[in-house]
Amino acid sequence: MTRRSQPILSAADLTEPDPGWFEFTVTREHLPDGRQILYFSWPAVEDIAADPAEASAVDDPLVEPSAAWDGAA
Amino acid sequence: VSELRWNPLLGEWVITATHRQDRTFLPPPTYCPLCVGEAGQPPTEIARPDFGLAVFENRFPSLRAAPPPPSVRPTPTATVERAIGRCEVVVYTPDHAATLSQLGPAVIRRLVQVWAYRTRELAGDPRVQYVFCFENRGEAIGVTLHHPHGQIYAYPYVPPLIDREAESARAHADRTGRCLWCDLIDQELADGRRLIANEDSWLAGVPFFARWPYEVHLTPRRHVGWLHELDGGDVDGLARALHQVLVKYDGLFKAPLPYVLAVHQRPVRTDRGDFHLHIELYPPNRTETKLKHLAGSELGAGSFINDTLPEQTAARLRQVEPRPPKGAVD
Repeated sequence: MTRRSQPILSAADLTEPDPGWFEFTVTREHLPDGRQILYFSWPAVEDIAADPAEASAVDDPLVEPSAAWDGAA
Repeated sequence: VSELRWNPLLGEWVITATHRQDRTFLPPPTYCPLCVGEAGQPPTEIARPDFGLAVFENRFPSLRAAPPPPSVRPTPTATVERAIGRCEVVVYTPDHAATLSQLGPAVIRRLVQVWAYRTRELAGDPRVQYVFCFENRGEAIGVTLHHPHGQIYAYPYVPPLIDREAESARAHADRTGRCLWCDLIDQELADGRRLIANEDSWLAGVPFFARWPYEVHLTPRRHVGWLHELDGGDVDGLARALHQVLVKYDGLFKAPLPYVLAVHQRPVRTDRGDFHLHIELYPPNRTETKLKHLAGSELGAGSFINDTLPEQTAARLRQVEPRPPKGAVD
């Protein structure tokens, strides 16, 4: 995979979100002095593997220069 | 008083915000304005206990939607403008004692969604030129509230560092036809010595040109400019990679490491696609007990001196056990 062949993308449209991107519910309220406050809630906590061993932690390339990256680039 | 004064020497805006002198400063937990308010206790900003994250307008904003007129007239060399924009506070959790690293990847993923949501909404104001999501952590950085939180600023101009990055990206693309950050990714993958975490979709590492000893940049492999352009897998990858970095930070000296976390998205009103989303973190520590201070060369001449080698600090971060510090919540 080489990024050198990737084209420069044009600016994305900020006005149209991708469907389903935002998984939360927003509740808009106002503080007593009129400032806006938004409460975000999600239907359920979805776990993401936090263990770096599961998430491909980096070996020490000082010991194995660049070998850890064979095929990664 | 809150206004923008133009610095003609540096070609950049300075925000004056004198009311911020009176903002809440390191209150005891009982008086934390970011905790959920309880009957009989001092009032806080948070009324509802049942939320994941919350965002509200800063009580002491540097920029606001309807600012007062400037307090002074422009000079022949320097203009003055109203401090238009927004300053928001992002509360990560009702838990006063938590940290982002302890909250874990699932909450970081939620935070990324909130960053993206606020970016889009704030960018809807045609006066806004840049939306900046960031976190200051630790008293060494100047934090005035310990409750885990970040901030979002919507500027009426592109801030200087972003502007310089965008200009560098433009020059690189004009010269090579390629994205500067994509080329940096290739460079770091080929070298490997400065990498900290390698997700499928994100890389984290100490940059070749780090200004701070333990500075880390996280960059998505895909060329995107805004957070909302990431797909679900990209967001999960960011959550994992950022969590790894934060856990390593806290494990580095076996204590919570202060840092500034800065999300660099593309300026909101540009027809250029060369800016590549990334996140930069700058801890001020150069050792467990010594801080890197900005002094003569940095402040007086704008030239950073890094007392460490990025290859060595990256190696040290890699060797930190991926485990929260003692007493941390899993």
